[in-house]
Amino acid sequence: MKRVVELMNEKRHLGIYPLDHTGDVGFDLEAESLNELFEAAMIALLRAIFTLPPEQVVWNLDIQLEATTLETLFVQWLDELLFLTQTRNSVPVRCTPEVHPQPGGWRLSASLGTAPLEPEKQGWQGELKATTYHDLTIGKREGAWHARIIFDV
Amino acid sequence: MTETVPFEKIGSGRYRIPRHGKMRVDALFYASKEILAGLETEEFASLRQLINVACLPGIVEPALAMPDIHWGYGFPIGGVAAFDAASEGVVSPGGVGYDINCGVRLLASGLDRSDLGAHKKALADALYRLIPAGVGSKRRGEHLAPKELRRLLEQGAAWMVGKGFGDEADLRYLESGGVFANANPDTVSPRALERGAAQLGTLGSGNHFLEVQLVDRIFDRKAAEALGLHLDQITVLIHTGSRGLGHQVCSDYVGTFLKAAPRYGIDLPDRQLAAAPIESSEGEAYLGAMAASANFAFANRQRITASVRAAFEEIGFSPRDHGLRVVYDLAHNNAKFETHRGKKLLVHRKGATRAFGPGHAELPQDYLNVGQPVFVPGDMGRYSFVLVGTDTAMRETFGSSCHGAGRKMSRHRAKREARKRNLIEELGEQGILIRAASRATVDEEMPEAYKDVADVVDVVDTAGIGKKVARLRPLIVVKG
Repeated sequence: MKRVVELMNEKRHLGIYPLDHTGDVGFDLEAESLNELFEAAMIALLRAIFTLPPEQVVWNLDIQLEATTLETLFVQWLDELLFLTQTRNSVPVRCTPEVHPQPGGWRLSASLGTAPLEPEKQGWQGELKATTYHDLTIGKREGAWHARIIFDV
Repeated sequence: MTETVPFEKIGSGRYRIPRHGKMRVDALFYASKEILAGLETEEFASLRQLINVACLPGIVEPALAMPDIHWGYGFPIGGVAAFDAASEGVVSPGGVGYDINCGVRLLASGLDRSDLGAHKKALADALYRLIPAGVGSKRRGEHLAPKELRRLLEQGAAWMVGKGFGDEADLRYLESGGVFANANPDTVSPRALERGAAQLGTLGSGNHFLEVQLVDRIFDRKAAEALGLHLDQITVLIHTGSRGLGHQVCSDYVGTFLKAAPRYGIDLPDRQLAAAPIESSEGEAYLGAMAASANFAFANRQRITASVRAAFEEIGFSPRDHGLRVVYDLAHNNAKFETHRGKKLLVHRKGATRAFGPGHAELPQDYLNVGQPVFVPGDMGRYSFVLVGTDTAMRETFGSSCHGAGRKMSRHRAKREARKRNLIEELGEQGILIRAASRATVDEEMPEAYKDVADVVDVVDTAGIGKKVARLRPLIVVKG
């Protein structure tokens, strides 16, 4: 598993483009696979919250999520990471999300390595309240996966 | 090419978007030429959101936007919409927002500028120390047991007063007495309770703040006297809401309503407008959870009020000296059952406040002749305003008015611009002391990121949906 900072720096194409939303914070995302798109979403979330996200894993946990639509699964994934970061003080460092269709919807399994929240050391930028459905898109076009996500600040 | 938004000027600062397409009612918004130019710059994205609101079932004419309108998610910020349960009207968590019952509370002191004088820095430090702000902030030794949290969610600000944080007199000056009676803690998820339990009495980050201010202008002497405000007086403005508890309740119910909406045949122009009939099991559950969150927000501001008093006392002002009393506490993100035009309607206000006119039964006795206080915070470098509600607001806007300046610059851009400057030093040179948990929050909230709140308030005043009373200038700003 790669750490977030490695994913941020490596050459592999993970497109993370901030949106110029007046009130809130949003991103356009692009990745070669659906799993990588979920990784890219995690990195975008961490970029919105930290300038120096943690590099050393202290805890490991597994996440299992299910939803009837891919959009809902995407929002649930990001809300889960927000909850871990802002309520449980457990900041994602690396992850391997695996997203699969299943009867009646979609499923995500992820191993997540996390580290304690240390706002000053990690360059805390401010709280995010939630992941919104506003202008949310997720889909495949021209051979790549794309998503747009807006967080409420 | 972006589709145009048809609208026409129908009066001073008033514009109408006639019903078209899937709109069920006309929409009405308030703006000046400058505000209109700002809306055009964003290709009328927020007016499109207003049009989407006008498409929801059971909406009562008109769908409204206040002059601080800006692009939100689902509803525009500054949006007001009333729904009639008898006409299959809906409730929408996106019409309330994530920060349920976020609001502002104004405290008036018995101190003048000269009394604060040399104590200013000590007060800034004491406020920053006593009021937790920023991520992970919590009050040591005040973590609530589940049973206590449940009572708080039912009782709101009164629960805090019962614990010794404030006086019975405070409660008389809170919107709805600081409690939503229909709260149902059973409809609040365990995750929402977990997020809230540790955050009671904390400010949060983003645009939340606490300011110590100076009354520097009076526009309406009679109303100012009724509210107990005078020139040179020191006031304190608290802006925060229901913290993670409310955020989680909104997230939970947007998910629930997205599944429910198709079952009720509700066509959603935007998923963030997920809605269910007011009189449905989902609608009732959300209203119970929203009310519980609202009570958390009232209790949160009550706890912070106690800390503000403690800070003044810590630096040497006795309770008799500082005399801090609640002028009013009003919310700008909720949905309330109210009677308008002879009907019981569910009025959603998202980034908009109540502005009830003189004589309304819900007003404190002292304010009956002048109307309900309305507080309109500006940015941290300029000023905020005190207004009162009007009869015109009762007729035109379901008794609503604006809630703030409204952003004009994205947070990304504000941070980019602010990086070249030292805002804390610049504001210090203007006599404004900043205490903040992170520089990032100060940067993205830079004064230039907001419209001039004076322009917003002037539109409200000219249109008659609020009346200017006083202006407040910041002296100390505490941010998360």
